[in-house]
Amino acid sequence: MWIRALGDYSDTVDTDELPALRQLVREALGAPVRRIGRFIQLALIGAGRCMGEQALPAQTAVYLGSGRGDLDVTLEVVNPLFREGLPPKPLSFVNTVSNATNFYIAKHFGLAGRSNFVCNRFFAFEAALELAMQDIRLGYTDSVLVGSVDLVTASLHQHRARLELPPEHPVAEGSHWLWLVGGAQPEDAVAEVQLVRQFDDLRALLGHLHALNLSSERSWLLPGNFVDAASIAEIQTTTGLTPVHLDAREPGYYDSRAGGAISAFLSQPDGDTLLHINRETDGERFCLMQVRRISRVS
Amino acid sequence: MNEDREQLKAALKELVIEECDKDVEPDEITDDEVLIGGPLDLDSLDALQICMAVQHKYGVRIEAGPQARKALRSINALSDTILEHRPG
Repeated sequence: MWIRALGDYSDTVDTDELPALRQLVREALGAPVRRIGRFIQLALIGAGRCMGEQALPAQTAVYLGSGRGDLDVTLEVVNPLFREGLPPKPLSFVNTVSNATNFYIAKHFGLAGRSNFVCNRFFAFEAALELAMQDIRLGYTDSVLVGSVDLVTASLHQHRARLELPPEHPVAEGSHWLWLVGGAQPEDAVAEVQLVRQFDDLRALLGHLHALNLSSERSWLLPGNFVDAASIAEIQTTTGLTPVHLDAREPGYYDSRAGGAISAFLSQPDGDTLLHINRETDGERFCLMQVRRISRVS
Repeated sequence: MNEDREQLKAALKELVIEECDKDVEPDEITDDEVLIGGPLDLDSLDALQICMAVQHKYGVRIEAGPQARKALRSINALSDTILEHRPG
């Protein structure tokens, strides 16, 4: 499967006054969008940056993953309801439907294809991408806009508590998107997604990696948010690869940070292949995302 | 009383802009312009949003139907409704 475009937004949030996104939406889409909350704004910024001026085929699907979903709008509904005994405001209530975000994306790009929202705490981006690849393979679609979004809610104190992060731990929000297509390699493809696969445990993952016989010079091993040091050490021993450690404090924590891995890999010159490895921390499963850079000879 | 009414109308213009997510300044909304289906291009969902916001902020419940149609005719009408029904 081929990546024809990528786009990202991520930013540290270090005050309870969350950064305004309205202008960024306008810049990314070329027009303001009314009656949307922060989560949808983030999604539109990332998707808009991904596609720029390019048009998508009308039957393109939209698959969005998130670790927590739209916490902001959930709080807008739950707080008045349970704390004040008041009904929620209608615009907040309407946007609690997870697919509301996909609706706004589909509306902006004029899409009428499939739409899926995947909530997965540990493999948010990977799960959406895995599903997109499966549906392309099965012939349900041949073009998918795949993304992940996670946001920060005020106050930061409550947000960190909700995410079970220590006080002062840097937090961020991010929106990462790519345009994935099936079939023959398009001329403008920037990368090939070779594999997104979940493994039952570390042993199964190591068996797979061992069989790949990876070149340490040409592979970029990037551990995700949730991989522990002991597992990384075992992966390193099995593959002979040295993990690349992006600064975990930059831009800060959000669940679906894996969504930015492909852009991070492609934006630097080292390696032909990205191996992004993530794990769940309340179970044994691991997830591998394998992406090949497509180099252009000028 | 008159001063209260002017302050309320100014606050309501800000409420409408905030709740309906409109890119206009408060002084661009005149006191007697039609709110729903008027120059602001507000629809029934905006109307419901305004009613809920008024209930949250002023404790005044605007019933659907004729009362809502009357109250949402303009900023003048909305402020009259609130002043008439505000608790306390």
